[in-house]
Order: sequence, then structure tokens, then C-alpha cells
Amino acid sequence: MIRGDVVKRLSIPQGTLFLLPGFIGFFLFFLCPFVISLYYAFLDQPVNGSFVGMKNFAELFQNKAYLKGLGNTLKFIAISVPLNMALSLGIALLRNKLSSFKQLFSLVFLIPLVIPSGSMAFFWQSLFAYDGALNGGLHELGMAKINWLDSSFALFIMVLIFVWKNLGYNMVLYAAGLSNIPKDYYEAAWMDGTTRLQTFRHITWPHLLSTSILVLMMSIVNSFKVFKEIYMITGNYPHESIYTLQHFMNNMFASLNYAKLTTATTILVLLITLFTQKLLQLERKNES
Amino acid sequence: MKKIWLIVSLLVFSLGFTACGGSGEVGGNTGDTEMLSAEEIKGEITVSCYDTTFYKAYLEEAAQMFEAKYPGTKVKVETFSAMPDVKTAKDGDETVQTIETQDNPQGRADYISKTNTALMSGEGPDLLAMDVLPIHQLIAGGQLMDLTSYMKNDPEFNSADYRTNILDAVKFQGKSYFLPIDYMFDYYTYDSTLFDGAAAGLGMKTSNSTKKLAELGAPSFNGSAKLFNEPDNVTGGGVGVFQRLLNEDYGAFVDMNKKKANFDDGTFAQLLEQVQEYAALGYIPQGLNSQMDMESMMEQMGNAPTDRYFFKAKNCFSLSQHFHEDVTQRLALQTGAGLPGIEDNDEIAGILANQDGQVPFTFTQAYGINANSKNAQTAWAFLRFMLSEDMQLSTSLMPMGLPLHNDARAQKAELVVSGALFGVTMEMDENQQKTLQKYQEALAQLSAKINFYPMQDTVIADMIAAETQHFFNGDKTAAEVAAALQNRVSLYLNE
Repeated sequence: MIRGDVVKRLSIPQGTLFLLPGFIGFFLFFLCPFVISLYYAFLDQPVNGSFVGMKNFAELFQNKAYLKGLGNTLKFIAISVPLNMALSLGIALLRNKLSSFKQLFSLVFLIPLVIPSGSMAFFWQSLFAYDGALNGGLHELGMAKINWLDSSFALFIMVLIFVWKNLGYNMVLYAAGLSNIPKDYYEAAWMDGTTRLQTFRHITWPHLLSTSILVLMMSIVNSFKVFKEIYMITGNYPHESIYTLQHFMNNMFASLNYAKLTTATTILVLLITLFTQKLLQLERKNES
Repeated sequence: MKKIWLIVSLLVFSLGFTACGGSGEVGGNTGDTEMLSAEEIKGEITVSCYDTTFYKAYLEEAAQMFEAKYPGTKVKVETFSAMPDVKTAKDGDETVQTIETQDNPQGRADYISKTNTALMSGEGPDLLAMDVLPIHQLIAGGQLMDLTSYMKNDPEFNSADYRTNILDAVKFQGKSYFLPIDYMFDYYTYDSTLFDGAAAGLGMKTSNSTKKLAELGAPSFNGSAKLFNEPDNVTGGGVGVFQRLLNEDYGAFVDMNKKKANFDDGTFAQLLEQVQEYAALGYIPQGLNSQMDMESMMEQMGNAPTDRYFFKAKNCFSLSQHFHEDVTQRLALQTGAGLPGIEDNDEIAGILANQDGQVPFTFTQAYGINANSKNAQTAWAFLRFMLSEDMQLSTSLMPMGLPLHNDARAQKAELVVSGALFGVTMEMDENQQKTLQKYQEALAQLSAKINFYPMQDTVIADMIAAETQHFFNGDKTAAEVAAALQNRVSLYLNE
């Protein structure tokens, strides 16, 4: 009661109060560290460092490992995110068609979300290791073993792990989006004799655009999280095709090269901020 | 939105200009001492090392004596690895004691990470043991103090008292960032009944690579004896023929300065295949590693004393055995990675050199000073104290290391020849005096050839060890291993 009076007297909107804990957390654990890391991005070394202007940024764009990591990350996102979105949308549509076992169907795709990363890494490693189950099968069939994790196949394994892990999450988002589309639209379309493709193109997809933008953003964010499993399976220096920006940053952290680490982080944050900004603009445009 | 960006930009630039006010010193501090007086040697310093088994006792002994010599000082010794397991068992009437040391890569990595974090935040121990830390990275990152000024200006430190070629060999771009307490080298012997080494130009005055000896010995090889006494590949940081050949040609595969790896031009794959061929031809004993079953290992160990080898790789600690009359003492001094075999006709073939003719050495202990040490003067005084004649003769040091201090080395040679190092105390007879003289001459001749410290990167060494294990296990071909290493090492060097 007293608290309520204080809020009224100070005329603080209730919404602001609800946002405050989150904002404090964001300020302390995200904004402050980012600003501090930004400071280090302009120094040559963290202890007794000198201001070097944009030198670290210029050097980073000449760093072969960074460019390799950036290229691989973009390649991975370009392959895995659309694939994951398409598959999860397909599965969400399929789930919508089911009249029974809907929950069981959803559960199958949601299981990977609750499996601990360590167990997951152990499973994939047992499957794809040189002396793993898959090569054991190939050997039984009289075929030559393949270095799955140490060849260009590694990228596809990384995509597979990402899709397997995130399919369920995106499916739930799409299922929620699908349930918000009024059934009347489909009935009207059916009365007009539209084909399934026309229904999808003119009713389902336009109404799922906001959901798709959210799924796209979450998929990109999650695409950075697949590093944990890949790191557990292949270590800090994997095959060059799956060496990502996170490998670079993790290794810079391990070798305590703060200048490169913070410069790479700053660039990544800027890229993600700009990309998210564009997506949100697109969403607002779609809503209006 | 624009306002927020403006605030962030202003913040960045104001932080940037604050940074301008820093010291601006890059690449580590230098020991800026004109004269080091006893009054300046005070306060607490911390010495840190990963290894506990061999470092702790020596450091604690040195700390105690240092504190007594310089009142008002305190030396805190920090060690991290677990002590080895010592197990005692009864075998009939005899008591057998086994000491098991466990390699703990994760523990090592945690220690490196912990130390690095402390150093990067301007903290960390004053004195750092170079046992597992990535020396190259520490120097490049300016974390180690250049000791040149201390070495030049401290009246209590005279470089001429030490093996100057070793002091020169540890210099990096003309600067001394760390100092070894002792040094070790490897040399080869040849069995004169199997191979005429003298005719082939081998001897005390020469330096030879393993590859050169293999080429010299191969024409005389008929299968009755093996060419080398070391196995193909030894896991867990040991040395086999593969490790020797790799170390001898390391510069051809890794160029740290140019940040270039060169594993994929076929040379590295050839090296691996060559080792495999040596094993197939019977040049080397079967690997004494985890791949060998216990029965074969016991059989090989049992046969080892009666086996003959053209060439044996030995540690410098064995050097005096060649001049001893007493067989028991000769056997006591046998050291090296390989199997001992029959020693009766062994002659010194020369010190081990790499393909470029450089003669490398290693050490049991070496230390550097943290560039941000708040008490660098005392840290230097403690390092100097560890290099003093008395401390170099400490029994807490590993006996295999040769003291860097010239007088201490001469005294240790006496302890070795007289047997005092092994607990036998008696006056040296005439024969032993002759042995001592010959041993010291040999030591001086071989040590004088040393001119190179192989500063290998621990991360690359771990990569090579892990990948080549796949080849020796039969999981991957030499070309696959070479390609994988090229990829991994290149990524690492390019970061």
C-alpha cells in the first residue's frame, strides 16, 4: 500500500517499474561489459595499453583466421537458417493437419531442446567419429571410412546438429502463428476453390510474416549457440570449414588477446544490431 | 536512436583519450636498475609454477635461505599439479616402490588460463616458472620483463660466471626474458662392434642429427641389432624417433615469426612414413606406449639389457659413464628415453643437432619476471639467488640438470664421479681423478656447441601429438594427418 503511494506520488508508470529489473540486468550484464570491451577495442593491450584508434579494426580485417571465421559463420547462417525455417514451417503445417497424437508429435521435436549439451555432443561424436557408429556401418558394408569431422562434411554435420536442435523451437513459434490465422479465411478460400499452394501463398504466408521475422531473428541468435556443441565435439581448432567467429573469439579469450577479442565482439554486435534493426523495420512495415 | 549513438560515441572517444594518458609502454618493462642495493630487496614476492613434484622442494628451500639472507623478505611459493602417487608393495623379501605421475592436460590448461588471466589484468605472480606456460606468447604479449638491464647492471650478477652460450641461446630478439637454472642436452653413442663411427667421422667434436645417423648406419644394418634404441612414438610427452626427427626439422614445418605452417608439402607425411618404415625394417624397437600389450612390453623390457643398438640417444647425465671404470656407477648413470641394451662398446658419437646444424638444449627449471611485478627488484634478487653457486648445487634440483653456474657445474661433476651425489662419500682415488678430468673435458666440449633453445609452442605441440597419434594407431594416413595439422596449425598461427 505504502509502495503504491510512493509510485503514485513519484508518478512512475507501472510499466516502467515492471521493466526496471530487466533493464538493470541488461545494463549491468550486457551494456556495461560491452562498453568496457569497446574501450579495450581501441587499445593495443589491456595493461598499460595505448590508444591506437582504428588500428585493431583495420588489423582484424587483415586477419586470415578472423576472415575465415566470419566467412564460415555467414555461410553457416545462409545454409542453416533458411533450411531450419523451411523445415520447421513444414512440420508446423503438418502438425496442424493432425487430428490425433498432436502432442506426441510436438514432443518428438521438442526433446532435443531439453537434452544437455554434453550428452548431445557425446551422441554426435559417437556417431561421426572416425571409429564411430557411422563409419562402423560403412565398414560393415565394405566401404571406406570417412573423416566426417575432419573434412568438408563437417559443415553439413554442423548444419544437421543445428537443425536437429532448433527444429522444435521454431515449430512451436510457427504453430502459435498458424493458430492465430482465423479459420474463416481458409473456409472462404475453400469456397472459392483455391488450391493448397494458393491458400499458402495468399493466406498462410502473409499472416505468418511477423512470426517468420521473429523465427529468423531467433534462428540467427541460436545459430551462434551451436558453437557449444561443435566446440565439445571438435575442440578449439576444428576443420577449417567449421571454424566460426565464436572459435576465433573463444581462442582469443583463451590466449587473452583482448584487443582482437573486443574488436571482433564490437563488429559482431554492430552487425547483429543493424540486421535486427532492419528486420524490425520490415516487421513494422508489414504490420502497417 | 541517434541520440543514443551520439552518447555511445562520446563515451568511446572519452575512454579512448583517457587511455592516451597511459604509460604507452609496449612489450614489457625492462629492469631499469643502475645498482641493486640490499635495502631494495624487501617485501613479499610470489613464485608460481605448475609442477609440484620437482619444483616445490627446490623453491621452498631457496625461499627459506633467501628469507634468512635478506631479512624483511617473504617468498610465497605456489605450485598447482598433484603430487605423484607413491605405492609400496612387497615382492618376496624385497619392497618395491612405484611412483606414478599422471599427465593432466586439463589441469595444465587451467593453470595456464589462470596465470594468463592474472597477467592480463596486471596482476599475477612476481616470478613465473617456464614449465608449462607458453613462453612465446608471454614474450610477444609483453608479459615478461626484459632482464638484460639487471644482468648488466647488478654487481652481484656476472654473466661470465655462467655458460654464456646458454644465456645467449635463450635470448629472444636480443633480449633475455627468462633464465634457466640448469641445462640438459642429448647426445648419441655408437656401438663400435657394430659400426665404425670413427671412420664415419663421428666423435666428441661432432654434432649429428638422427636422420644423419640413420643414413650412416643403414648400409651396415643386417637385422641382428637395431639401429636406434628408441621406439617410433612415445605418448605423454616422451621422446621417440618420431619426436626426434620432428624436433630436428621443426623449423621446416612451423615458422612462428612468419606465422606459417608447412605440413602439407609432403615432407611431414614423408617423415611419418619414414618412422613407420624404420619400424617395419626393424631399425627401432616396437613402441613402448599404450598401444602395446603388457606381455610384449614385459618381454621387450626383459630382453632390453641384452639387445644391441647401433646408436643410442642419451641424456647428458649419462656422459660420465663413458669414463668410469666402475661398472655399477656406469649403470647407475644410464639415462635416456630409449632402452639401455649392451653398453660395453659404446663410444660417444657427438651431441644431438637439428637438420640446420643448430644444437639444442632443454632445462629442468627456468624463470621469468612478471612485467607488472610490484616488487621486481626482490623478484630479480630471488632469481639471482637461485642462480648462485650454492643453490645450483641443491639436492632438491633434478640431478639430470647441469648447473648453469660454472663453479657449481665443476663441483657437481665431482659429486657425480665420486658418487657423493648418490650418497656414497669417499675420497676420490687416482682413477676417479682421471675420470673426472675426462668427464669435465667432454662436458665442456659438448656444452660449448649448444647454440639454440627450441621455443616450441605448447598448443602446436599438443596438436601434433594428438593428430600423429591417429597415424600411429592406424586410424589415419600420413597425408590425412599432415592435412589436418596444416589446417589446425594454420588457423592457430593466423589468429
